[in-house]
Amino acid sequence: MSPERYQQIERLYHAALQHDLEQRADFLRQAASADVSLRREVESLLAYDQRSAGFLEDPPDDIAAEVFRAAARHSLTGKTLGHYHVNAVAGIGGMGEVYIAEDTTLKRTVAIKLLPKQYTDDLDRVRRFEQEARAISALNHPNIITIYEIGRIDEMPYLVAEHVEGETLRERIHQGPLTPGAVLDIGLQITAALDAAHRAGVIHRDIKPENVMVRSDGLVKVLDFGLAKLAGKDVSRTDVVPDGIVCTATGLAMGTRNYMSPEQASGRQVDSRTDLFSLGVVLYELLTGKRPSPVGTPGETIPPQLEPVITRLLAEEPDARYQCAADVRADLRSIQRKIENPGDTWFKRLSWRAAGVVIVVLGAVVFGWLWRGSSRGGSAKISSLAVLPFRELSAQGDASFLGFGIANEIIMRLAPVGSVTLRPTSAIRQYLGQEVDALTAARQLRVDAVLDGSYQRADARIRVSVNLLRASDGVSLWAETVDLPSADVLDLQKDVSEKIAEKLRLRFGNQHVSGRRTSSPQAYEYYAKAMYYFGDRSFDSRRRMSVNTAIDLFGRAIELDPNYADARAGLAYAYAWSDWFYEENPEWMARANEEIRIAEGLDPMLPSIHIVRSLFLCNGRGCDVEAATRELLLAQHIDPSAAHVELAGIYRRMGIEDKEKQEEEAALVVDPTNTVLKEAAVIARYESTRPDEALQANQRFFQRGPEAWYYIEKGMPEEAAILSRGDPYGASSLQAYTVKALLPALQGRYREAEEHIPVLLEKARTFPYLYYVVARTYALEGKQEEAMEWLTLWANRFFPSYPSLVRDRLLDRIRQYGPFVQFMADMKRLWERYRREFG
Amino acid sequence: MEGSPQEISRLLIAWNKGEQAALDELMPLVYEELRRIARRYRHGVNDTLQTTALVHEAFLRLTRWEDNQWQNRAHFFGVAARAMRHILVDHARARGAVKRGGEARSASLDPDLVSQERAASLVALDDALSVLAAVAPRQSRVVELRYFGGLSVAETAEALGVSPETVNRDWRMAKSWLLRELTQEQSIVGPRG
Repeated sequence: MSPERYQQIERLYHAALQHDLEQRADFLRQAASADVSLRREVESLLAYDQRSAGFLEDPPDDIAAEVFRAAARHSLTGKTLGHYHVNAVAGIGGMGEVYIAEDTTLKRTVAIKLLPKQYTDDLDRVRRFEQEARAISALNHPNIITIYEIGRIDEMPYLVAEHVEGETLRERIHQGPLTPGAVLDIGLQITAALDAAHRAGVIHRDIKPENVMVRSDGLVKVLDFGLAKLAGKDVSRTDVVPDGIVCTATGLAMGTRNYMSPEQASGRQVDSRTDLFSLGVVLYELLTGKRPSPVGTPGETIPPQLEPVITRLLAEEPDARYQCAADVRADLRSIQRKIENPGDTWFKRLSWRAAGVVIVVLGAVVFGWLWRGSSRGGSAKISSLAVLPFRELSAQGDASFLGFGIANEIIMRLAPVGSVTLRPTSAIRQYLGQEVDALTAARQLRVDAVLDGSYQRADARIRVSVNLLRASDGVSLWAETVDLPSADVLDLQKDVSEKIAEKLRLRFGNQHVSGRRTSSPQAYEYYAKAMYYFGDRSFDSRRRMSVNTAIDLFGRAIELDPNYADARAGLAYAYAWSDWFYEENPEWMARANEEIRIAEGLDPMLPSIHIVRSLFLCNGRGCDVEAATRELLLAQHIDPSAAHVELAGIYRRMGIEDKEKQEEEAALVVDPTNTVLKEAAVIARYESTRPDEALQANQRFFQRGPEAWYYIEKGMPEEAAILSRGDPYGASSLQAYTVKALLPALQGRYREAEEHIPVLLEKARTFPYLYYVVARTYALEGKQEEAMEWLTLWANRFFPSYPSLVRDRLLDRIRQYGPFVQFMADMKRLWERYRREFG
Repeated sequence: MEGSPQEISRLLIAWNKGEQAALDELMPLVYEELRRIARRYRHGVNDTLQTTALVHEAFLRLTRWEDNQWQNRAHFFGVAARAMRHILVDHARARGAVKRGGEARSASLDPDLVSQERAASLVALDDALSVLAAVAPRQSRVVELRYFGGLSVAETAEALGVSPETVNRDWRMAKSWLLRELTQEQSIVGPRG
C-alpha cells in the first residue's frame, strides 16, 4: 500500500466516524461508490474501531519490569560487612538492595539495606536522616521497623534494621484484592504507625505497598521512615525547581496517579497530611488491585463501608483530607466494629434467615388468606390490596426504611398472584414516616383491604405485628404477631431492606426473572422452607439432616404442583449434593437428571438449572472445569445475583484467584449468613495452599484462631501436633484426615503416615482433596513416582490450580524431579489458557 | 558513556532542526541512562515500575533541570520513547529465542515472568508499527510516544508539533489498523515466537 492510498483511507475513515453507527454504511456507499476496495478497507477498519477501545491503553510495564530485573544481578551474598555476615538477598527496592545478614556479635538476624551512594553524598542530609531514624526507633512502636545502625563500610553507606519475615503489601496485592476486613486490619496498623511518627515530628513521605510489610502473624510493619527525604525523592526540598514548573505546563502529571500527594508531587510544602493521601492510595489499591484513576474518570468500585474514608484520604486539598492519622484510625475502627462485631448491629445480629423467614411466613399467610378468600368469593370479596410501610412503634417519628423494605418485599412476593390487584410500592411510598390511619390510606388508595404492619424492638428481640383490614368496615380479617431476634437497626435500615430483597430473590430462585412460580400457596410454603433448610447444608455429613428435610419438602412442593420448576431444580440440587457428600447413589443422580430435564422443559431460563448442571459436571467423581464454568456463567448471565458461590469455587480450581475473591465477596453481599460459603472459603484456602488467608477467613467468619491444619501448611508440625488433639471438626472431617496423614509425614514418621493412605483413598470419593494429601505425604517422604501419580490425578481431574501448586511447600522435595518439572510446565500452560478464556 | 546536560540539549536542538545524525548520537546516551535507572529499580515484583515514570526520570537526570531548556522536554521524550521501544522489544525477542533454545529450564516456573504470548505480542506489535511507519509515519510515532513513552495526548502533540486533535485522530486510527494487523496475522500464520 502506498502512503497516498493510506491517506485516502484515513480521510474516509475519519469522515465516516462523524456519522452515527447506523448511517455509516450508507455514507460509505455514497462516498466511495466507485472504489469498492477502498470502501471495504474503511469498513474493516471501522469494525476494529469499536473493538480497539482498550487496546494499547495499558503501558508495557510488565515487560519493562522484567527487563530491569534482569539488568544486573551482582550480589553481596556470602560477603562480610564489618561484623555482619551477609546470608541472602531479601529483595531489591527502589532505594537500595536489601540483604539478610547475621550480626556476628549480637547473634541475631538483621536486614541490611545498602543505600545508593548518590543518596548519601550529602552528609548534612544523612545526619538529618539519622536523627529522624533515631527518633522513630526510640518510639519502639510495634508497627514501625526498628533501625539498629546507620554507617559506612568501604564508602558504602548502609542501614541495619530489624529483620521482618513476611510479605510486602505489594506481594499481597499480587494475590488479588483484599477483603474489606483485611484492609481495615492493615489500615488500622498503618495509621497507628503514622500517628506515632507524626507525633514525633517525622513524616514518612513515601507510603506505598512496597514499604509496608505484613508478618505471617498479621502484624504490620511500616518500613523506611524518612528515607524518601534522604533519597531526595521528595521534590519539595529541591529549591532549584521553581514553584509550579513540575506540576503545571510541563504535563508531568501521569495517567496513573502514584502514591505521592498532589502537594508533594508539585513541590509545594508538605506536612504529615501527605502521608494520609498516600495511605488512601494504598488502601484503594488493596481493595481493588488498582490505583485510583485521575480525577473525573470512573474508578473501581470500593466497598461502600470504606468509601467515605478513602474518598476523604484522597482529597486533592490537604485541608479537605483527614487532618491527623488518629482520626482516620478512629473511623476505621468504627467501621471494623460494624463489620466484625456481631453484637453491635442488626446487620449481623438478626440472622438474615430469621428475617427472611418472617417475611416468607407473612407473605405465605397473606397469600394463603387471599387465595382462600378469593376462591371462596362471597361477601368478603377482596380484589385489591395495599401493603403499608411497616411502622416502628416507639420510634421518634423518623422514617423507617426497614418497615418500608418489609412492605416492599411482601408486595413483590404477592404481586404475581393474579386474583388480587396490588398497589405498587411507589403508591405506598407516600405513607413512609406518616402517621396515617390505615383505613384512610385504604380509601385514598382505593383498595378493598389494607395490610397494616408494625414492629417493635425490645432487648435483643424484634416483634412484628400485622393486621389485615377490610376497607369497607374496618373489620380485621387476619392479625398475627411474630417474635424474632434482633438488635440495633438504627444505622442500617436501608442496607437491611436491600439485603432482604436481594437475599429473597436469590433464595427463591429468581422469580423476578423467570416470572414463573406456583399457583399453590401450600407448595410455595414448602418450597420456601426447603430452601431454608438446604441453605443450612455443610460440606460434610454433619448437617445431613437439613438436606434430607429439604429433599422431603421439595418433594411435597412438587406433589402439590408438578409444574413448579424452582422446586424441581431445588430437588435436583439436593440429590446431587447428597450423592457427592453423603454417599454415592446412582438412583439419586438419575432422579436429579430427570428433575433437571423436567424443570428445563417448564422454564429453560431458570438459573438454578445451570447451577445444578455445573454440579453434574464438577463433583466428587471429577471436574470438567471449563464446561462447569460455562454453565455457571450462563446462570449468572440470566440472573446477575446467582451462582456467586459456585463460581468462586470453580475459579479457585482454575487458579484465577482475583475472580474467586470477587465472586466470594459478591456472594457475601447477596447473603451475609451463608454458612456454606464461609466454610468453603476457609477450607478452600487450605486446599489451595493459602494458609495465611485461611487463618484470616477463619478469624473473620468464625472468630477462630489457627488450627492444626494451618500449622501443617506452614510446615510447623510441633504446633500442629498440639492443636490436633482438640480437633473441633470431628474424626470424619476433611481437616482430621488431612492432619492425620501429613502430621507424621512432616515429623519424619513415614511408616505411620503411610498407614493412613488406604483410608484417605477411600474417603477421597467424598473429599477428592485427599488425593492431594496422599500425593503430599509421598512427596514429604521423597517418593517421587508415587507422589506424581496422585498429584496428577488431583490436578487433572479435580483441581488444576497452578498457583496453588507453585505455593505448596510440602512438595519441595520433588520439585527437581524431571516429570514434576514437566508437569508444572503443562499446568502453567493450562492455567494461562484458563486465564485467557475466563480470567 | 555519559553526556553532559549541555551536550544533550545541543543534540536535542539539532535533532529538532532535522539533523538525523544528532539522533544517532543521542540514542545511546538515553539508552544508557534508562538502563542505569533500571538497575536501581530491580524490584522483585512487576508493577512497581512504570514505563512512564522511568522515561520521566531519565529526562530529569539527563537534563538536570538547571539548563532551563525545558522546551526540549517533548523532544527528549520522543527519543526516550524510541529507546524504550528498542529495549523492551529486544528483550521480548530474546525471550522468544530462549524459549526455542531450552524449554526445560526451571526459569519457566518463575511466576513473575510475563507470558510467552505477551512477549510475542509485543514483538508482533513492533513489526506492525514498522509496517505502519512506511505508509503513515506520524501515526506510527504517535503510538510509539503514547505506548512506549507513556506520554499523554498533550505531550505527544507537543513532541510532534501537531495539535492534540490530530494526535487523537492518529491514535484512534492507528489502534484500529494495528489491532486488525495483529489479529489477522494471528489467524493466518498463527502466533509468533
